[in-house]
Amino acid sequence: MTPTTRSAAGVAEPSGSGGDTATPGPVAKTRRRPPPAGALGFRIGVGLLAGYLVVAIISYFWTPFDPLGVGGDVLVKPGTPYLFGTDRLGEDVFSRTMVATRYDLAITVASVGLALVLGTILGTIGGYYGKFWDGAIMRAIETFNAFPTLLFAMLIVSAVGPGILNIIVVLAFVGLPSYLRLARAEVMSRKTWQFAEAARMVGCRSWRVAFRHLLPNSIGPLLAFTAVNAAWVALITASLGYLGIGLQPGVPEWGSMIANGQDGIITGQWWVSFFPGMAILGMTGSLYLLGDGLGDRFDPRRRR
Amino acid sequence: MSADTAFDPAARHSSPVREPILEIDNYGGYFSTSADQAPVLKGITYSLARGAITAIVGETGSGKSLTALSMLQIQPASFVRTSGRILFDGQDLAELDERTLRGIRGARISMVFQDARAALNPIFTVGRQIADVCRLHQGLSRNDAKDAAIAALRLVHIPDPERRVRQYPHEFSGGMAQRVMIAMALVCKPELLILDEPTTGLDVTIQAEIIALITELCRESDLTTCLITHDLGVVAETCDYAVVMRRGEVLETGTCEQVLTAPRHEYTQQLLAASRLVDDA
Amino acid sequence: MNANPYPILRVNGLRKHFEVGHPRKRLNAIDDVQFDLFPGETLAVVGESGSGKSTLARCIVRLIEPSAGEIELDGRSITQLGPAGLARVYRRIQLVFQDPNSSLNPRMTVRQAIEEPLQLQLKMGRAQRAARSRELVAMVGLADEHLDRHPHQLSGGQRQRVGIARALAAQPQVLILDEPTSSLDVSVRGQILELLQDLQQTLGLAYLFITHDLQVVRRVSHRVAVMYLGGIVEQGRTEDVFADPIHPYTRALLSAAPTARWGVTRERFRLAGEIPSPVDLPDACRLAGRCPLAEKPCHRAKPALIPFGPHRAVACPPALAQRQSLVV
Repeated sequence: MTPTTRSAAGVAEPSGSGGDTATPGPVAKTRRRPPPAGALGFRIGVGLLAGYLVVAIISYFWTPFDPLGVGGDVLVKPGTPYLFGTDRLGEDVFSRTMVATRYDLAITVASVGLALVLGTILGTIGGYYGKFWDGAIMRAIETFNAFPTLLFAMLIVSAVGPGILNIIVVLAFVGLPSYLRLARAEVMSRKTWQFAEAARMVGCRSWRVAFRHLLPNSIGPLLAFTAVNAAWVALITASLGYLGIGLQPGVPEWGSMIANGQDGIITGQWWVSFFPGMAILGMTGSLYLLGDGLGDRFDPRRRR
Repeated sequence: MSADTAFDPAARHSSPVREPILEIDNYGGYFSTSADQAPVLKGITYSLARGAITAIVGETGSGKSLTALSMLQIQPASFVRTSGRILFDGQDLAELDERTLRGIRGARISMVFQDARAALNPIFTVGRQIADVCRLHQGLSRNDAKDAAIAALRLVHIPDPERRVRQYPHEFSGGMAQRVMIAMALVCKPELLILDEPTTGLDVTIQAEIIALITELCRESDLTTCLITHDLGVVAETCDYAVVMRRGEVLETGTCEQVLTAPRHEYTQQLLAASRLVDDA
Repeated sequence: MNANPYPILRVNGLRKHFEVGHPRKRLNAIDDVQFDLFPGETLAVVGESGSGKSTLARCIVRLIEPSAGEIELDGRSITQLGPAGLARVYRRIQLVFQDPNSSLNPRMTVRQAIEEPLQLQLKMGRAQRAARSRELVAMVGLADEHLDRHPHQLSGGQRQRVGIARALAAQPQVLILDEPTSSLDVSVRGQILELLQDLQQTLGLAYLFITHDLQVVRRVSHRVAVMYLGGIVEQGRTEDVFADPIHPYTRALLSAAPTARWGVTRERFRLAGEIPSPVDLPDACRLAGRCPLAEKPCHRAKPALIPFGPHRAVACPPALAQRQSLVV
């Protein structure tokens, strides 16, 4: 059966794909379109994340007060001089929130990055080579899936002990299956495209077809997924901190800060939990916006 | 549309020339999503003679499908009309409200698309889909609609229609599915049938069958047919009139004989030469 | 047509079957196909859906592994070769794909696509590659500026030219073309076919031209093989087969193809029903259920290709018998 590239949905495009003009002329399907409405969300997301990054960097050089400085005035309301107020130990909430940015941001980025790279490689191998390798990789992954994610993370962190590196590795492993499955699905669906067959005909060995041809074409959906997944990882990180698992006690981290201040919500000292909570909200939200924008950009329906 | 050339009675059914059923008059527009808003249709003017088969011929990007979709006002939402009218029975279809248009689609003007199996809803039986059309436009009862569906399948020569009416689209081959689409389009006995590349993608032998079916149905019931295609062979076999389009413009109109034997426009000549890659004996 | 008597490509007893569905049924995509291709000639393989022609193309180059049969390229068997051997084979025989939209990597420029075989297969250095890729694009009628474009910036015809240039990079002797013009507009087809014919003349290539379009067959091929449900039913010189088709399927096919000529009405040779599913076919002539000439033996065993004259073979005893009785 001959597939046809003509009238997709009956809509004619000015420079059709079946003709043979000597010069392509003004190509209607140019990438210079005016940005659609969704791009605003994308920009806000990127802007906010950049803001977080800046705050994290600044926190290494300056904070209004010493974030671990015990002994200041206890439970002072937000205002001057304590912008976000102080907590039960007299530590400045603003400074602690700033410093905590480092950890939450670093953990999120590192674990997502690790999961992305490892998951994509394994997924590409499984998707392209199929049969034995695919079977082996998928069976291994399915054991991961047997556990609810947060529980799984908790169990492992409790077993290996606190520490930023441990959390990163644990979260990477917990998040890996999703990337693996996505990469695998993308590669598998493109395996039958004719350019993959053509690549084999021009001398590409299997790994080259998989990694140099198929994978680069699958990046789009992967990136979109990464951003949204990162939002989820940020939340999990904070949840672990809230539950008291993960970083050493005392190290500022948004989740643990919320836990520390939660009693205060009832008694009227809302600021101890509120500001770290807003920080989490901001980061998660901006990652979602970023993911949404990337998803729109790579939406296959927009490509023609 | 030059209506002053007589047909060859031996090759085509001859009839006195009649009032056109649909006239497109200087229709033009562009896509609001395009960067430069270049017009995709420019001054399209042609008419469809009642009871005849008119072919709209063109390659990719000619605007032939877009114009046809405009006849039913189902063109993409990003299309903006800048000029012209589409007159059906004295009314400008582009000006009508949605309610009136719904009454026309399926009942007075019907359309058949290219990929039949994609156009049919996979989760409903074929009979149900045809019956739904009847019930919507004619308010038939469920049993009457079912009978109408069976009769429609029989009309398009699907064998064993009582059994097949209960089957799902995936159980039909490409050619059979196309017949189902034609049945669905004709069940309410419309006045005008538009077919958008109905045989592209089908095997050669099936193509011939579908073309023969369309021709037979049109002649039998005095149905006006608008056949959109890029295949001049199909045009030569079936059509009374031809309209040649390229890049959003109508280049040439005339009787089929005229366009195929004595084309006036250079592009038509090129198209003909390309379609007959070989000079057959 | 070349007078060389030795085929450059020889296919014998080729079979390919798939197991499909639950419960497992056998789909014979290619069923005992045999033909020779001589240097400098074009052999067209025609068929409709289910004929197995695309599978045939891929089995010959072992993109799909055949289930049985022998393939010989220039006298040497390639059926059992390992990856290293196959890499050498791909320097002598190449494939031009059907869909210009999906046969080029969207993220690679034309230059990258053409230089890849030069680098991987011919091991050329950078300067050499640049020079050779300019030569290749010129050979297929494109300009130097096209080298740095991406596929989406080219028209369908141009993309197909790139596909041809890429196939020619390795300097093959045989090109298998899998419906190279089916996805192109009518006005472009002629140009691509002309290009292919020119290249054949200049480079002495042999073409295995797979298509469903009879006009194309008529125009470019010296010989034609008609396939139906995995088997060749008729084979011979193009002008002979078109002037006088013998097999009922060939007759149905030729009479169904529309020509863009006014006033030509053709006698349609009709087959009953539609092409059946290729799954679980009985051991009989594949056309038996639809054929007006079918007799008892047709339902009992598959007929072999019977030679008829010096260059012709037909797999239909009743049709041949009819022919004999006419002659006698």
